[in-house]
Amino acid sequence: MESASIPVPAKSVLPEGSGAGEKGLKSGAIGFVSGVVIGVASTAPGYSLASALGLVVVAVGFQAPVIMIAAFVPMLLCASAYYWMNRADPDCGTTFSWVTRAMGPSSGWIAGWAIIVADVIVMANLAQIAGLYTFLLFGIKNPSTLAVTILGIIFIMAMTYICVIGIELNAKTQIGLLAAELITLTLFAVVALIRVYAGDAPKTSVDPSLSWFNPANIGSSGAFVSGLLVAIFIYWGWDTTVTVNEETEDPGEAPGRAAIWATVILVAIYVIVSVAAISFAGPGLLANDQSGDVLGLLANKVFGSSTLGKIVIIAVLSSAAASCQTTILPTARTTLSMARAKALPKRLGDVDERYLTPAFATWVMGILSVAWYVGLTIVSTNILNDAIAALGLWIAFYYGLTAFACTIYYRRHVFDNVKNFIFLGLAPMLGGLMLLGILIKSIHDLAKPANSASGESWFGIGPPLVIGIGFMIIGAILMVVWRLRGNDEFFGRKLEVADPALVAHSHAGSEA
Amino acid sequence: MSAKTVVVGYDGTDGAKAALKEALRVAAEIGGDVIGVFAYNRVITGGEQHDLDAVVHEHGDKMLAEAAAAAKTAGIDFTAQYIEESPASALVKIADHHDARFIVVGSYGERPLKGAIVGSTPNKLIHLSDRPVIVVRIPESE
Repeated sequence: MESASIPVPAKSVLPEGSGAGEKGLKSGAIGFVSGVVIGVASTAPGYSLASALGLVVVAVGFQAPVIMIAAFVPMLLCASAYYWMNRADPDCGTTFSWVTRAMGPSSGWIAGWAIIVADVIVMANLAQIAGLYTFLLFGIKNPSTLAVTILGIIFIMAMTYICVIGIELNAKTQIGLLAAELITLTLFAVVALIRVYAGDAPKTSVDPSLSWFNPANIGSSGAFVSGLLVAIFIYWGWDTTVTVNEETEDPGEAPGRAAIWATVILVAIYVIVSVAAISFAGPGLLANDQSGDVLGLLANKVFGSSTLGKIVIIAVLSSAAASCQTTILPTARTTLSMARAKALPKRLGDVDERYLTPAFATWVMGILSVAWYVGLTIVSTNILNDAIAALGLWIAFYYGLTAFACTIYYRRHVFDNVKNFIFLGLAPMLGGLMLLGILIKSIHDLAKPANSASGESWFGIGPPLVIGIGFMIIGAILMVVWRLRGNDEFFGRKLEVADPALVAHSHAGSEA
Repeated sequence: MSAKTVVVGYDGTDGAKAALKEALRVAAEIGGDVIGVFAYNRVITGGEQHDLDAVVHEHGDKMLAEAAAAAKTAGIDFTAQYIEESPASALVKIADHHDARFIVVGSYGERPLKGAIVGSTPNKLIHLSDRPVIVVRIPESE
């Protein structure tokens, strides 16, 4: 049987920005606007702020705004690695596949595992936020843990189901939702600041000061790094802009520009909201937030009305839902990619006959997430905070690994010219080293239980580190088991280096 | 012969099998040929597309080969078409391109609510297509 080559009529090429899926052809699917939207929506600013703002303030107090900027630096540097590795191999498994090529199958396997772990951990947090904010939406304060957990589980299962049946919001709806989220957050910040300057804010309010942007005012290097570890999490996801590269109308230009704009928007919104929130409430109140619903409660106070406050709650909820989709989908696809490479059981690479999605892998992820969420709820008094610090460790680990993989993969071309040196060598190495530094310092600090957000002690060390190391040990065991069962096709893979053509045509952007 | 082409959506599921059977019967009656279409609507929000696309493409080719074999048995000329697009608009586009006589699709007989959630192809087709659309329900016994 031959596939007939029916030329798709030229008129079907869609206008810019309309392409998210509905009529997506193989190329020319995403325009600049969609690129920015995907980048920002994947990062989910509303949800990220809701779960992390209080934690950053706990770590560094008034210096939260500068942490928002500082955390972005290593992420930006690593973006160069994502861009270049994506050129080399626009594969389904991104980090998994790239690290396997550059650093070998064992490193690659662990990189893939890191993505799976990060997904499972973040789902607990997302579920918790979704549960809490749903209650806030209906005006219920301090709901019971059981009630929040049940809603959270429903949220995870619903999101998993949505990913299984492959629903995607069309591009216009996505743009609309994201715009609403950004406008809401901006409005929240502006109103908060106006009330501070008008002397109409709570007694704990403080006028904004330029000194908040001075990193030297942060008490200790430990505080600085623990702030960074949390803030890395809030930027997690915007690299999607770079990895959808293959899909963009102008692969040479659009992803780069879209990534830059997505970033500018994110940094701006994080800085503005953190300045406004600290200024309005004072760091003490934000730092006291133990339940994670600080943004919702603050919104009611800022707007002086629970009706207006609810738009912030809705923004956080829609952001959490968007983040869920951009977390579950890539993870299920990474799993599929690993299964296809014989790095995981074959079954995980199956696609559903009807929905054409990696349904089995998606359900496995959903069920693992629920198990993890319930388990963590039972053993930890502060799920959100412990999970985020643990997540920060894993994100730093696999972003860093990807960065190093880039330089290793392109090592023969790093010294070709200045541009290559900067983007293939300097930027990824610097980004990777920064993340490695944060990782090492965090591990060192978190070894003392008192330094974790909850202050709990598990086996004599902080919960986030127990979670981080625990998953690493499980991963190592699973990998060894999988390796002992044969699977030489994967574990016997040789290291690869970049094809010189990738670098030579770096400006052509036409091979896609 | 172009006006005697029957376009059928075929993804290998039970509904598609019922649709193919009907399409082959209609083609035999009008003395036409059949184009089997496997449409795959990519969800790009998840990024990391490459391997998934490859797996789906392999699956699609396998399903289309199955349909081609059924057509051969029935003695009907068959052309396979794999397309990355949402099923409804892909079917309309291909039917237009070939000036097809009918579009045939299977239906799961789902209640309207679920149809709205998962995106009912027959439903969309009726709105999009200028051509007659034949919707075939999955036989109860299966």
